[in-house]
Amino acid sequence: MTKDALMADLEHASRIARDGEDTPLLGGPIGLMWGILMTMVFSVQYMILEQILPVAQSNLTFLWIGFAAIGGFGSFILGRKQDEKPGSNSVANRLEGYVWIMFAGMMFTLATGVILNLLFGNGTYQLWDIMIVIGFAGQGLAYGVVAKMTKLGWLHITALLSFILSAICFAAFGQTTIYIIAAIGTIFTVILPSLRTMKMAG
Amino acid sequence: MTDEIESPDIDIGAINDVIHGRLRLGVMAYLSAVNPASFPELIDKTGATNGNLSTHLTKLETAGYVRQEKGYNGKRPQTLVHLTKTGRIAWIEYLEAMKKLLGH
Repeated sequence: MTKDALMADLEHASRIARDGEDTPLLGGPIGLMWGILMTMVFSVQYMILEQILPVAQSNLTFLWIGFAAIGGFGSFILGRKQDEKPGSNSVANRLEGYVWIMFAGMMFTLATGVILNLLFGNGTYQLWDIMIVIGFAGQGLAYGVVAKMTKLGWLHITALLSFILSAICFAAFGQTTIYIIAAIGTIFTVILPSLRTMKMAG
Repeated sequence: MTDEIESPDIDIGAINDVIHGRLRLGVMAYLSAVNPASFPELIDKTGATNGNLSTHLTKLETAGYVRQEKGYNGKRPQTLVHLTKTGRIAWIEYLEAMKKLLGH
């Protein structure tokens, strides 16, 4: 074998490896779906609590159950489509998928804790606000890990923005404004980053 | 051939013959970054034909470097190709041998 032929083979292999390594993140559609759902639900909750929408507050439970059901079903469908795309098993995509599954696990744990406290403890419905505070912080952590792995600088900014929103929401803890802040914050930290990821994925 | 690789320091025997073929090299390189990869994905990335890829995958599988998993994605049949632990070690050793061979 000549050195030129060997180098050509290695260059060919290197190009294929880089192609796999540089696979864009494929989770954009799932993020976009959750972002739109969250923005809608936070906004509706705000309008109900402020009585802009004349709906009884007891209906909020159904709102959140609907949110979880639609989000779960949508994730299942979109996740299957994502699995069919080339590069869906790249290290970055596997990490991104897993980090958000763990995030969902964390939120589910918190929700269970809040429900148990409401049933058996002395907590009030304000406890739900803690989900928003921790949700934004957890989201920042998830973005940060993915940013480090993918070397996408703008994701670090999204992570930082999520942390700032967590602090702002904590400041608004117990007030209805927390929901409108969360709705607006979701647009900037979930919907827009998801759209950008989708654009990068082509 | 003036560029023929000849040097008393080069151990040609250290180059893994199973990996060292343009297509198999491409498969191993892609699997080192995306693992597992589907059969159509490998065809797309390596530019191989169906039958050609199948033949070379069998060779890699016989050496224990890859594992083919036949299953379904929904209702559609799907073959996923996994890089095994042995395959990853062999790949790293191959790259090390190539670095030595090329004097890096």
